[in-house]
Amino acid sequence: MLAYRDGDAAAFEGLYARHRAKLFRYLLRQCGRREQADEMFQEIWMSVIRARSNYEVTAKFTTWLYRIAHNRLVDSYRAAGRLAEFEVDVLDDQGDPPDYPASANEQPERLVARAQLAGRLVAAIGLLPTTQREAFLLAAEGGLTVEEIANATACGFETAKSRLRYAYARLRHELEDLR
Amino acid sequence: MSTPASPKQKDLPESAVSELHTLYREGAADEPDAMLDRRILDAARSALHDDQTRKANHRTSWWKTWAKPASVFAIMILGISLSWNVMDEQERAMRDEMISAERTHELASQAKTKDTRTAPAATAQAPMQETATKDAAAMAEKKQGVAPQVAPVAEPQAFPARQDSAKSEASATGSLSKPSAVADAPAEVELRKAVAAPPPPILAPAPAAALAMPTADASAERANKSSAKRLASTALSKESDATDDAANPEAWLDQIRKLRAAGRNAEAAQSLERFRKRYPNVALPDDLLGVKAP
Repeated sequence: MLAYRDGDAAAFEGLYARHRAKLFRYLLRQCGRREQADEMFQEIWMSVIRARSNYEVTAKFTTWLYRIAHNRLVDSYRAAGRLAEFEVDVLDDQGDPPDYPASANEQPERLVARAQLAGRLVAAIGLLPTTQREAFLLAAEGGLTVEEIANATACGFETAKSRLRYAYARLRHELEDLR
Repeated sequence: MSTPASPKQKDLPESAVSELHTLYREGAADEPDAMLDRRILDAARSALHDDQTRKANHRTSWWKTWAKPASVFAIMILGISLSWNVMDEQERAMRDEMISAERTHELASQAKTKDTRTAPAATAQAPMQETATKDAAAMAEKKQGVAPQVAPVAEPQAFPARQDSAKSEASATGSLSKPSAVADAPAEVELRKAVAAPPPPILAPAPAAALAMPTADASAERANKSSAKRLASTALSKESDATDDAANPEAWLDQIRKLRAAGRNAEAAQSLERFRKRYPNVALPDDLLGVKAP
């Protein structure tokens, strides 16, 4: 980003190539509609371009990029009257996460088909509460650590960690039926 | 890229987490449109281009930033130089005034010393002469103080000219062995003589010329008489105007007397009228009570 700020267009192309698909999927999973994801995707990258002159290295570029995306998502949820989904954590209703069954790798006989399973997982992600889905997507797509997730979503470390843990538990639970 | 989050304890084992991530990536292969990619990349490039253009414009238009301060500076310089010029002119005018006043004083003092030294007959008329000299000095000082920008050279010399010519006449008559006659003459006669005297040069005082040629040719004198009269009358009128402005009422009254003595009754009456307007409370002397406009 610093190189782009200093006039290197190729630096931006490199950044864009590295993050475009992951960011797009993050947005698509969070808002559910492709048109809206396209629009938000473009707005986020325009924000990045506009912010070039004032850009300073305060965090990892990925964290900074996903913070912009998170803020944009919050705006869209607010506009749609669904802001509560971003503010309310549904962790307490569920109690402690259940004990996890063994990994799928340990029970290979229970996998019907990997592709089918992957599709099912994507569908299960769509059913997660917004905050948990976001935490999972930031980890799976952006490759962010718990701390970075907390930073990008402007919440505490423990909150981010809990969200992530519940998301994994739910997804595992959803996938159990197929095994 | 950092390592993904790996919850501990009750958390999913790391292998399970990575398996979930891998499975997710296999299932989610969505990507943005190529057109969207192109739009964004174009926007990024054009933003850089705009930056470069802005920088280039900023570099070429440096003079715009300096135009205002430079014009303000130029206006200030112009204003200061103009005011200096005006002040210089005023100073020069004042200096000229002072020089002319000094010259008048010098001439007056020279006349005094010559009167006492060379012409005893003239000294008999001292009260009249001295009053005239004092008047001249007073007028010069007054002019200097009240109106420093008015004709610095010509006016102060008008009175000395009359004075000097009177003195030259006095000395000339003295050399013609008629001192007693001159001594007996009243002020009117003195003034008439002054009128008849030839005009002195501006820088060379008249007594010198008069002393140098006491037996001057009568015809030449006559030829000069008319022009001398004109000059003397101009000097007198200037003097009378100046006296009108005098703060000293006695000097003014003296001047009116002189005008009367010179036969200029109309001017004397006008001057007296002005005097009355200016000093309504001053009692007129008996000799001036009968002055009326013809």
